[in-house]
Amino acid sequence: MRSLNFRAPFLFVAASASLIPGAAWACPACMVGDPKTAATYFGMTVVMSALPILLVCGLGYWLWRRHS
Amino acid sequence: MTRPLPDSRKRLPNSVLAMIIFVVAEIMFFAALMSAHTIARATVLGGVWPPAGQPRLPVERTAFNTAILLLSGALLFMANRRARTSYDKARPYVAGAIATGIAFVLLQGMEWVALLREGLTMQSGTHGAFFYLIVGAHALHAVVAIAVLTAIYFPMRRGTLSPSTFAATQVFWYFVVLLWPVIYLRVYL
Repeated sequence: MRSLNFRAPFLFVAASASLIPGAAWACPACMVGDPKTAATYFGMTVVMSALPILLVCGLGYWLWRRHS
Repeated sequence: MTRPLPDSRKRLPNSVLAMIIFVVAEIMFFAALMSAHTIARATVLGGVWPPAGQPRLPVERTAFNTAILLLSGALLFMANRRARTSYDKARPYVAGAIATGIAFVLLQGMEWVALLREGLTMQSGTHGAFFYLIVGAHALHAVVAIAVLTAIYFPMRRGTLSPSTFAATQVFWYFVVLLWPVIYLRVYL
């Protein structure tokens, strides 16, 4: 419980900090120019971020259901 | 008091779990290739794909090849159903899956030869580079999977094949079969 009390403010500050920037224009090739290109980059970023999580979680859930 | 036998439906053999984990890694490998291909396609100058001056891919012939590969997967699925009673009943279906798999690879090879003659090479541009990389990586997996299917055919004939080896091989072949329509939709269309 003590460690949770310590972590909660830290997590709150970290989560709040993520709301500060409106957008991070880190890659001009991704976001400047053709909106279709920006949408493609965004879509592929979402797919490549979500796919491993979905695969690992899906496998874990399937194994859990199988053995529970 | 005798212990009850473990429920075979619930036990997942280590070989099958290892193959599933391997397939998950392979899915990420192909997802990365297709992600790069999608971005290259979206950012091409003029917005036309394939780029001007590059050969068009044979969509209709490859649709036929896709049907052959899907038939191969269906045959292996039927082999699995027959294998529950006897390997003797499953064997012809495994042989059919191997034959249709070989037919798919040969027809793809013929397609490659035709495209090379038309001037589509790894060096001819991003279109050719992505085509040979993605389709070639899949063909490599198909060849390995056919070799594994052939390797399990003989112990199956002798009746010495373990069910877990058969199951792990099926996982790999289903991956090769089900990945292809995704590649076809993303690369050819």
